[in-house]
Amino acid sequence: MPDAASETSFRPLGAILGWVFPGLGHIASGNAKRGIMAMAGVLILFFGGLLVGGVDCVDRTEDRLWFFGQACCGPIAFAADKVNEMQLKSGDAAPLIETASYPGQPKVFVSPFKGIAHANEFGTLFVFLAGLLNICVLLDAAVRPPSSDGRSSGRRAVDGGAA
Amino acid sequence: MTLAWTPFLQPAPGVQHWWWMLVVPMALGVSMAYKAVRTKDLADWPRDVLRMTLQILAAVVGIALGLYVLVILVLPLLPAE
Repeated sequence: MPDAASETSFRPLGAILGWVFPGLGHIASGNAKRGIMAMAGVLILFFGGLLVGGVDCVDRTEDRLWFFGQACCGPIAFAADKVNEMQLKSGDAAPLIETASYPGQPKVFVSPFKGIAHANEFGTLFVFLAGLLNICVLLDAAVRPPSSDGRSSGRRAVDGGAA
Repeated sequence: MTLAWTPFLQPAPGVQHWWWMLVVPMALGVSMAYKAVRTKDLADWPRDVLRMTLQILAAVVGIALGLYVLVILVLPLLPAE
């Protein structure tokens, strides 16, 4: 039986895998069911945010502070930012339109698909929350003992069965 | 009328009118991820998620009611000067 020190040791690989894709750290360490549950929660927030606000709510240059939190979702956040840049900001998805600018300043063009007001606010918040929660998930993946779900202190362990 | 909507590229239509309903999927997503980490026995996960979701919603509704009472009922009672 492993001692308490080894059970609570920090495994960086779990955290790295958890950042690569939400829940992957748990799945790789044998806690697949827990990883899938965590993945479901984080991805509901992430894709829910993109559905509400569009990819414009992940913007590395215009919303840099928000992006610090959103980037904790891993490569999918960077992919969403890239899609925003390639589809919306470049004008590929829809021709850019000119917006008001200060006198003497260069003209400003934006995509008509750019999110504003509540849609942008909630989309940004959803993806940000997904990133923050993924920090909890990947830290848990780093310290949770491998294949420990079946030997938890819950009912199943008391009953003598394994998950 | 929504003639065309490209999901994930364009913001969802109608959000300006029902934005306050978004607290429900937000509470659900937060609860699902948090309880996946905190629940000891995974068999309890659905029940824990439901409970935490309802707790978040109750807290938000409570804050809304408190602010309503404060802003609409209490503050007008204060003297103007």
